[in-house]
Amino acid sequence: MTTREGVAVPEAPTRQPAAKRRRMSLRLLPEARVTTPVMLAVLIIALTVIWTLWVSERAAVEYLIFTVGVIGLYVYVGGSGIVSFGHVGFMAVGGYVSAILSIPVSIRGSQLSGLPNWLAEAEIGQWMRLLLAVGAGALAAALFGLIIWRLSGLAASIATLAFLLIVFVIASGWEDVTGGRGSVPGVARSASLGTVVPCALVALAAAAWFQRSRPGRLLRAVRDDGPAARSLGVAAEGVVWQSMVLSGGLMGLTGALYVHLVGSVSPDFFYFAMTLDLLAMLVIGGMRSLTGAVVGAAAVRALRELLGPLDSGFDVGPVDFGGRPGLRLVALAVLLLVVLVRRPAGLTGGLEIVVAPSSRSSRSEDQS
Amino acid sequence: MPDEFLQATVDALGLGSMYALVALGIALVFGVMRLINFAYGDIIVGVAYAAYFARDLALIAVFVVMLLAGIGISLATERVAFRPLRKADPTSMLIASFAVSSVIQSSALATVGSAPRGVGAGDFLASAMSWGPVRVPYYTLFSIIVVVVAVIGLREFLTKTSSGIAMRAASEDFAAARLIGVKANKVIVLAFGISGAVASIVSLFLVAQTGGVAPASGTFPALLGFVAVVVGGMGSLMAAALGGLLIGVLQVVLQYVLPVDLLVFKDALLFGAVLLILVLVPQGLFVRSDPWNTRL
Repeated sequence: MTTREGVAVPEAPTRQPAAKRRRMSLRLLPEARVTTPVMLAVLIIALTVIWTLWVSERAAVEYLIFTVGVIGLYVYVGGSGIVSFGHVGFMAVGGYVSAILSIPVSIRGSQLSGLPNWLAEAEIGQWMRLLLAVGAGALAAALFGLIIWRLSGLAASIATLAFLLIVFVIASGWEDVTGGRGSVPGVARSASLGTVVPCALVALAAAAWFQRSRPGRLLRAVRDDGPAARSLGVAAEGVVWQSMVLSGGLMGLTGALYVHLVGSVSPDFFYFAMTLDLLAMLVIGGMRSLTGAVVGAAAVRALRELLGPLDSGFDVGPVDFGGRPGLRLVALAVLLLVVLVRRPAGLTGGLEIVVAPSSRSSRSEDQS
Repeated sequence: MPDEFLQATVDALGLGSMYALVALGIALVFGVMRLINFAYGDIIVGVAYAAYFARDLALIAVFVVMLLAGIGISLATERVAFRPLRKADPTSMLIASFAVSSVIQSSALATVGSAPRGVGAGDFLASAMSWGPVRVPYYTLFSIIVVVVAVIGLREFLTKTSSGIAMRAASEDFAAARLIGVKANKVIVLAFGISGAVASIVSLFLVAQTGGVAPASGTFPALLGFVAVVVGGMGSLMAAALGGLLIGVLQVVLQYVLPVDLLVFKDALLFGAVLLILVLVPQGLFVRSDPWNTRL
């Protein structure tokens, strides 16, 4: 009992003796907590502001789109441990759906003669288009996931590669519907900060929610020790499939946002270069954590500003280095290799950013 | 109708033997390192570019250049990229080989540009013979012969020579092989070297068929090569070669059977068939057991 103005006031019950305040700090821990997506959201918004002010709004939008893509890739690859080369295929699915639906109705039917009338004439608003893209990506992923239900490891990876190629060939060949090999003009350029920022935050929230959900945690168990998880009754194939569906939806969203940034759609957008970009971002950041995905996207995007001149040319003092297209990809791939050799777990080591009590228990406790 | 069938058979054998060679090159490295070398197609392209740059030399010299280029590039990728990764997990190695492929391809793009270059080294193979109604290009004939020679030669090498036996031991159980004295470096370098030489031969057939080279020319044959290895059965050279043959047969069947307006989707159907085989028989069609635990 303490006294206050002479009146006895019961002390609030304390959980610990001497109620010391533990210092909270930013740490990297193996398990994500509630503070993780919050911190990551702060990071994303901060970077968006920085890009917008330092480079351009377009650069910030592009960064956010790639962030959504890497998060989507992480949900499957980081969750299941299976390297997927085919996720860009889901991007293509979502991208084409949204792109085609955004072409003005007046020219859509004539440009893409193979579209059924109801598609050629449908007027779909911006957010509905994105939703449809998510749905299309998730549906494609659900079907593909069912097909490769029993596969794992290398066979699964090769299967995803086959999927990427199948999508590419169909998109290139089905001219009446997809516009074929060239790029299709008329796609709405509607990707602005107002569109993309909410999408990025939603993607982050979805991935974080899945991580903490029952299937997400079961997935981690399967990834870390498959036989042990199964012996405990975990339906391994089922949780892997669920992560595939969610990641497919996110990739569909990414694809849609991408086409609305560029203003056209083409199969070449969704092929090996994009696959390398996303995979590199994920691996460099850290394949096994959501923090890794976000950090990787940011790090590689930052590097792109530095590496960009490799493609277009720059000068150091009086010396003029002519740029060559393709050089940026070389530098990125080399960086990826270096990371794989020196620090395979990536920049974050596969850990998540958390606000947690400091671990310095040796700090003296007498501070009241 | 029988004429078409004969022609189709010849085409299938020619294409299939080329893919069998690619599959062999990939399977050799996979056997000792469990690595699917995504950069294999780019080694093939590198050899073709070497032939392009050496085009003013005598033909024999060009062949030597091609052989050296194949072996050289292959050994370089081993030394620079894959040796440091030897202890890494399969996921890292897979992504790494994808990165190596991007490095080589983008470097080619940056240095020589995307425009195709004409390569004449294979022209002597480009003409064809006529056996009755059937047209047999020389490169088809040669690739069939080469594949048969290669398979027999590899078999002899792997069973009768000490290096070959060492390689087989390493591919069965790398750690155990090292314990009994097999030199890891020697075996892996040997595998990469032979694989590179095979790439040189494939490159010759490729330029014979297409007459030129561009940075991305090797992607498709290599992809079909990986697919052939996985579909045929990982861990067995013979299975890989048979897988390559099967891919060739599938391609030709699709070519002949598809109606004209669907031909543009030929490759999608091919990969669709591959997907189907992978799902039904994940351990491979031509192996007996499932040593690599392809099921989850």
